[in-house]
Amino acid sequence: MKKKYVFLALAAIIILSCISAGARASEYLSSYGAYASAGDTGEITIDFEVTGNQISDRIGVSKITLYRDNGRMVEAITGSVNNGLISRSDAFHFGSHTFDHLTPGEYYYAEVTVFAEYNGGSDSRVIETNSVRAPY
Amino acid sequence: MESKYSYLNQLSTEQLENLLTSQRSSPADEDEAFCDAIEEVILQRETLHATGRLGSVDAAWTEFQKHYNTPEGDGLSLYPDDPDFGDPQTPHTAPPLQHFSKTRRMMRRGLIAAAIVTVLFAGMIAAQASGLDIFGAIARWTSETFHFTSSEAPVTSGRNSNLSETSQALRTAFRDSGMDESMIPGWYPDRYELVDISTVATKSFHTVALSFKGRDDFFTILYTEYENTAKIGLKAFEKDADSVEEYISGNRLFYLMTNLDHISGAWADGSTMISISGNLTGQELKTIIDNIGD
Repeated sequence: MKKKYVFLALAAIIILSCISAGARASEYLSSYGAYASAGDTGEITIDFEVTGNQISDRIGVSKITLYRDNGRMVEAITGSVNNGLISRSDAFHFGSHTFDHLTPGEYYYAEVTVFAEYNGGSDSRVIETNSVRAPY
Repeated sequence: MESKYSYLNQLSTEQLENLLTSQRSSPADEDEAFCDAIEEVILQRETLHATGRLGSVDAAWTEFQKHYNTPEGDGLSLYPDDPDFGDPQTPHTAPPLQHFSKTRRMMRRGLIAAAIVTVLFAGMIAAQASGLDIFGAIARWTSETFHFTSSEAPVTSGRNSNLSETSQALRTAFRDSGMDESMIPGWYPDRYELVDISTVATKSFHTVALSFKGRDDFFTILYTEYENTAKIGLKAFEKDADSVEEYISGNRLFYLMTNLDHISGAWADGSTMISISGNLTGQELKTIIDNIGD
């Protein structure tokens, strides 16, 4: 009897999760990506691209958080128009941010929050870069 | 155990093992019910007072995965005396009790796994029937996003694979005249106007981005060459639950998907990607794709 309930609960969870997943999509975001590259000694650059569904009031990256490969947070930066992570009145935004003074030989990755804002509404996604080794 | 085999409880575990061994050594005379009864008695005793005779289930599973469930062993019997496998001249030897118990446990786990898979599959079918493209999730997309996987970025036959040269030609054309005559679309809907051409170069990618604006509509075309094939798999496209359509134009296989009232088309080959997104009808998107030169 217990097994029957377990299977029924499992099936219900699966179906509900599928239905809720289907509700996702974005009125504001079209595509995005974030990529990590090794730079000079102890430097890692995070490149990103964000495309909106319209000419957005603001579009780009609101936050980049750098992590060591073991999951420990190292540093975070908040996006702004001044630091080049956010653009105004654009259909898309491409950019980069370099983290320096990192430990050479260690691997790092970043979580990047991409967003687009239009006419008072907005949408965002947190995406993860590849992992890359800080050069010696 | 209140059955004809109740007397087995009176025997020692060693005697039961001998009985089981003798049964297994003569497959023709094997009494499955009798063997099951013997094993049940042994299992009960081990459950009450573990002697280590049966070993750890987890250790047995690990051992099976490491030593038996290997590509080299695919299609082979777990036991060399199985008459359905191997050299028939090989002398038959009965499998030790511990092996047999492991097999039963593995079979039980297999049955549980099969039951779970059945439930999962049933759930997926139910969700699929409700209009959700669940099976698409097994491939390259989910109901939320689409992306090219780095190892599966489709390579179309008959196409010039020198993508860098193609991309270089694009960049050169954009440098010289703002647009490459062969790769830019030869057509776009009359209601649109090309309002912006942007070129971007980062460590990870080079992009030529075109944006078109209509009265209330908008769409973009991006030509992007990534640093390597791994990075192309990190780019995601928003999509709704509708299924992804494959559309072949010339030598290119485009994936078309909807994102609420927007539509996107994406093609990737190696580390190069062309993507078109915006307020377009499906036919308009296909016509734009058809008019992108080789």
